[in-house]
Amino acid sequence: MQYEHSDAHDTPPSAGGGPQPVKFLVAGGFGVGKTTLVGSISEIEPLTTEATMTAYSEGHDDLSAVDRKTSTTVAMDFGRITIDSEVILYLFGTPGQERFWFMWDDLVDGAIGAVVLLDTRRIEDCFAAVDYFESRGVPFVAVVNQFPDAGSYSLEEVREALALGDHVPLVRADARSRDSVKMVLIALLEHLIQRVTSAPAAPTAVHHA
Amino acid sequence: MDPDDRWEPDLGIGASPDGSGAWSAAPGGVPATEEEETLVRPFVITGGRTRHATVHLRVESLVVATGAVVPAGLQFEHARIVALCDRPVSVAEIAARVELPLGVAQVLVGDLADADLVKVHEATPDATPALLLRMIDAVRAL
Repeated sequence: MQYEHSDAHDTPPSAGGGPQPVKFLVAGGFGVGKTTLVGSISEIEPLTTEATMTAYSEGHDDLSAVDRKTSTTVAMDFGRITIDSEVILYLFGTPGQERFWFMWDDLVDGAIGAVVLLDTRRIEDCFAAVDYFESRGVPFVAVVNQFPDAGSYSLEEVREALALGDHVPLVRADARSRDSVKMVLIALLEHLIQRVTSAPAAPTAVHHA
Repeated sequence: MDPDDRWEPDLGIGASPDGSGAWSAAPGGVPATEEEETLVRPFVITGGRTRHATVHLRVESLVVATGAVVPAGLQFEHARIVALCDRPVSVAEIAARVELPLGVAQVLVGDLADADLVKVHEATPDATPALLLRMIDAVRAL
């Protein structure tokens, strides 16, 4: 797909001056390579921030099966890409385990797009992420992280297994490769452009009341 | 471990047994590990608040110091955040770099915004084609 190169920066600078943040989410099952993907492209070493579980843990009676490392906090890895003097892109890895998805509503607030990373050996791990973004109307691309020892399924087989609509881009990538991750982000950005230019009302960031 | 054992205020923090300033172990007790410390400290730092009363911040909200004179007696963590924000930094980065849980960093940044010591750039720009094309150009050039 070709686009005219845009020299005109017609996005108005933020009211108070200084850059504005743009947020992408990186979702997928536990251990699918979210942090690796963020690390391949981020201009800073991926950082980890922890959200305490204290306020939310009521109702979770069975803590016995919980990984010790995450029993009190939920870790989110993230990275940063400075686009220019006006825009900084943040990539946030979402907590990979289903029981932490209550946090996603906070994270998705303001996100303009998402990457759903999947491993064909455990494709079901990303079902809930796909469902979540579809239900919230967050545009996303699905990405097969090509692990060396994973069988090679065709993208059509993967699309079928995910029951992914034709409008959702599905690409193969290597989360360890910077060039490969660049292509993933470009695929997402192109998808966003398509949505903006084809939709009657331009969708912007997701906002919750 | 019993939660009541996590914090012992009479340990005399800062006066380590060997005089080096570093605690190895409490006499007759267990070492105060970093993990145990973080279970207690957040509530102390925010005065028990888990959310800021007026300022809602997203993880990606950009925070920058206003340059206003930092009052003497500002809480240590608040002062560290102001120092960190000499250029725009996201709330998530602040939390990671100051090594505080996200919720605590959000409350503290809210305090600093109330005091006009920092300014917050909350708004995400509209995802216009022009912006998205700029982002594509920038990603290609990485």
